[in-house]
Amino acid sequence: MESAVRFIKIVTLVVTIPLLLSAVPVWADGDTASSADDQAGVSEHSSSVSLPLARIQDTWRNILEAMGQHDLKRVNQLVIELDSLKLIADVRGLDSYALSLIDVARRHFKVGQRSEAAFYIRKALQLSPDSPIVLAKAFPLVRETSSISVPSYLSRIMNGVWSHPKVWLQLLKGSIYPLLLAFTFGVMVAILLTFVIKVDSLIRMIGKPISSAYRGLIAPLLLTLLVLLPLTLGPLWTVCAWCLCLYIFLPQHRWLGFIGSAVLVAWGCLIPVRESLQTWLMNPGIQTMLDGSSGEFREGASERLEALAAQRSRDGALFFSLGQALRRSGRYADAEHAFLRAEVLLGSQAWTRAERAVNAYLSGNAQQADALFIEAEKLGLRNAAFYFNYSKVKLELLDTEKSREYLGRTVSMDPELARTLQQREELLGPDARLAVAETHLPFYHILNSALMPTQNLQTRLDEFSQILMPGASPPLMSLVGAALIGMFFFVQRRRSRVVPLSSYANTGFPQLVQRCMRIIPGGAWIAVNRPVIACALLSVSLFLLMPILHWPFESSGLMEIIPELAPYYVSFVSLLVLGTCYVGVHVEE
Amino acid sequence: MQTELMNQDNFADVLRGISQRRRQGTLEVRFADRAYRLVFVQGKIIEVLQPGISPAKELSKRLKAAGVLPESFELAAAGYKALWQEIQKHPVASSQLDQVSFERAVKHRVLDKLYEISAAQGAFLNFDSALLDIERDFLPSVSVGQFLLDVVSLEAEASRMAGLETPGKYLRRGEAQPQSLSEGEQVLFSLLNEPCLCEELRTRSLLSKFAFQEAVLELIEKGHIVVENDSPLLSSEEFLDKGLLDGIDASIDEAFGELAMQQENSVPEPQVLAQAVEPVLTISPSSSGPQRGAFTARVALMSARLAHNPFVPAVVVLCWVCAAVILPWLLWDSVFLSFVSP
Repeated sequence: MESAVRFIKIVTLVVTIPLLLSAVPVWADGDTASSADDQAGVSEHSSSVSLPLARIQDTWRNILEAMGQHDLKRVNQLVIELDSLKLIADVRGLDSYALSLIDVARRHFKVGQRSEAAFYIRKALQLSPDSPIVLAKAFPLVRETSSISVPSYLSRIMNGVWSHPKVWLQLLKGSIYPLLLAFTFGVMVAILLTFVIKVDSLIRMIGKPISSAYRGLIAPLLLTLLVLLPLTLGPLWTVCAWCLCLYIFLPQHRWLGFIGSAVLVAWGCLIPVRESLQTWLMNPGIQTMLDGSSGEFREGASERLEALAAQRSRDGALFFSLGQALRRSGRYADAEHAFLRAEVLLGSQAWTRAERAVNAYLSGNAQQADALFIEAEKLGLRNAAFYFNYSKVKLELLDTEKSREYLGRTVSMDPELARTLQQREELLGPDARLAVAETHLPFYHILNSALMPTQNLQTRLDEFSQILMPGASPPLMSLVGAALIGMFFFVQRRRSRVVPLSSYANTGFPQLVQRCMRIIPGGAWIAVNRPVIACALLSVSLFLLMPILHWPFESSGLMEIIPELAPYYVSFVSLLVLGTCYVGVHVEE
Repeated sequence: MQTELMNQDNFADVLRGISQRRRQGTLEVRFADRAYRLVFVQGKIIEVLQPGISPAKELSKRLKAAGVLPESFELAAAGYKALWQEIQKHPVASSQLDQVSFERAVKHRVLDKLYEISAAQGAFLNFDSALLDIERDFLPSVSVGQFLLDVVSLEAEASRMAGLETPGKYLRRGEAQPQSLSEGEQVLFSLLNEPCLCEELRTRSLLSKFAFQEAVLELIEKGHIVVENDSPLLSSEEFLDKGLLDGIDASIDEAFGELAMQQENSVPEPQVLAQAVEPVLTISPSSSGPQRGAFTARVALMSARLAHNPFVPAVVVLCWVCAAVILPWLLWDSVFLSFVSP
């Protein structure tokens, strides 16, 4: 049982890593740019006026100098200092600095300086211990320079992904088109191969209503036109037409038609989601909001969020983030307004109550904070951050017993968070505005924000849908798909009839086609009348092959972010494809 | 789906393979001029079908030839069950045929069809695991082993049977008293109330070729049947004048009758797809002018050839595969390019 669970975990990781990495390019570009800026000594941190952020920038400059002098001892001391400053400034991770250190480590490793490489990798992970991008980029060198458990390291990456909504959304956005394209081409190939093995039956059926004097001439031509004409209309019309052909001529394979119809519906629904996410994520204010939801607030965040809030007055998640940013900058009254606005937009829920309670506590109103915490608890909020903040309020109200109890709960729920916050209290004082735990909105509220209507989106949607399915908008795609799904329920499995013999009996396929079917992963299942399995295998294989083909562009993240992983990935996918073909040949036999 | 070329070596192997694995489905055996479809259930043969030939009609024809059904009997519906129901309703036929005899006739029709398949001629074999939805009433269950042994025995005793079937030889009851006869022997013995030709006896017995051969040779050995050279009914001249010429006439009629039946079956039964699709070369005599008629005939001939040429589906498949590879590259460049960069 335990080994089965472990196996499932490993499989999940193996399947999810390409997904994660498929979402990376835009993100990676941003980080590379940041690294370049850091090298030049110009970064967004330089504009900082607050002391901890300015000190972070200064310390990083010193680290660059020490690296230039190859003074590893000093680099080590400065990184430890930077780590402390990170804690004081409530910066969760210094990703751009960490990525620079990884680049330095790579250079050292290439010239055979393994110990230096190991040192820089360790320091990089110290600066950004839970950033999935840093962890992923460091992975090959970590493997080379230290003995780690690969599954636990991968699960660490997954945990990092889980705690960063920005990464999640990039992942979601980056996986939509590769998945849809993989399934579209998978369905198309499966249907075409099904037609290929049933070609004699199809010709007979097409020829049935034609006069016997012309049947032999016209039926093959008509069938060829019927199959090939939709190809001139684009991929989605092809799927649509071929699904119809399946329903009409091969109803025994109607499940394949159902999958094709579902793919059409998915395109219709997910194109707006993906394009909306794309537009949304490009917005600098949104990026600030997402940084905030990951617990990272940079200088000028509140101003950027205020500007965005003026444009998106219906975005509850945005007002929630704005409230947090305003509170961190000490504007408690404005923060309260923002949280109240968020409460109106998000409805009655615990998160805004808890944030308002923290706001009230920081502005010196412990009684109101207590009342709001009670309301939040009644609404179901019971996480470590909540109990930590509540313990502070109880301490302020001199209810030490409750305060200790809540602190104990925090420690039992999340010891790492409790330790960090207590350290921050020691450094900044218990009433410091950075010495409170942040409450994070659930992911679905952020997703709702992402899916809110955006200006000029319709034009983009229409342009894009015209490419895939000329003459159809996303709603029409969904409608066509839904109609085909409806047809699925009316098409009954046709029972085999007494057809003793007919034309084209014992049709032998060209050897070339037979071999091609065996080479295609899943093709053998078509030959044994299991096209749905074939479609699934084909789609998965295509999806796994996309990072190697660098198409679509969102899939190329794997090769770009971890070039060292490319040979392993190529080997893994090749083995998987070969294994599928091998099993297929046995299934066929 | 398994397709291979049949020869003397592998036909028995294929049948044994299907039988041992208790597979079900249909084995299509296609010769140059004819084809058969053997229906398997649990590794046993339950039916043998031929294109354009209804098994029930064929059986009714056998029954008529045996004198069990009157010539006026017309089979309205397809299927053994329908035939049996019609026989039961028929006042004359119902008195001459009980259910056991009917079931035996069905079984021996299937066996005779099996014996027609000769591995020596060479054919295509094609096994499809999809089971045909056919009516199961009255169908026999013929074991492959039994069939293969029958074939060997048929070949071994072929010369003896040829001797019995030569013109002028007839069979009559012997002097010995019948004791412990098998089912086939009982049937034959009961039919030999008066001397008759070997072929006639076989037709009347409704037994398969092997069952008849086995029974008749056994009866001869036991002395229950005697073979005599001179027919008590016809002299050799009379036989030539009447028997042989009648036989030739009958065979000609039969051939035309079959052709007519094929044409009849090819159009009006839409559910029998093969029959509907089988090309029927029909040239209307009322076509406008001889040139048009000749052209139509040429087109029809070409169409008929193409409809039976396995090369056509192969060409269609190759067209599809080539087009499916080339057309997207030519026509979908905007699709591919739109996913190349953000």
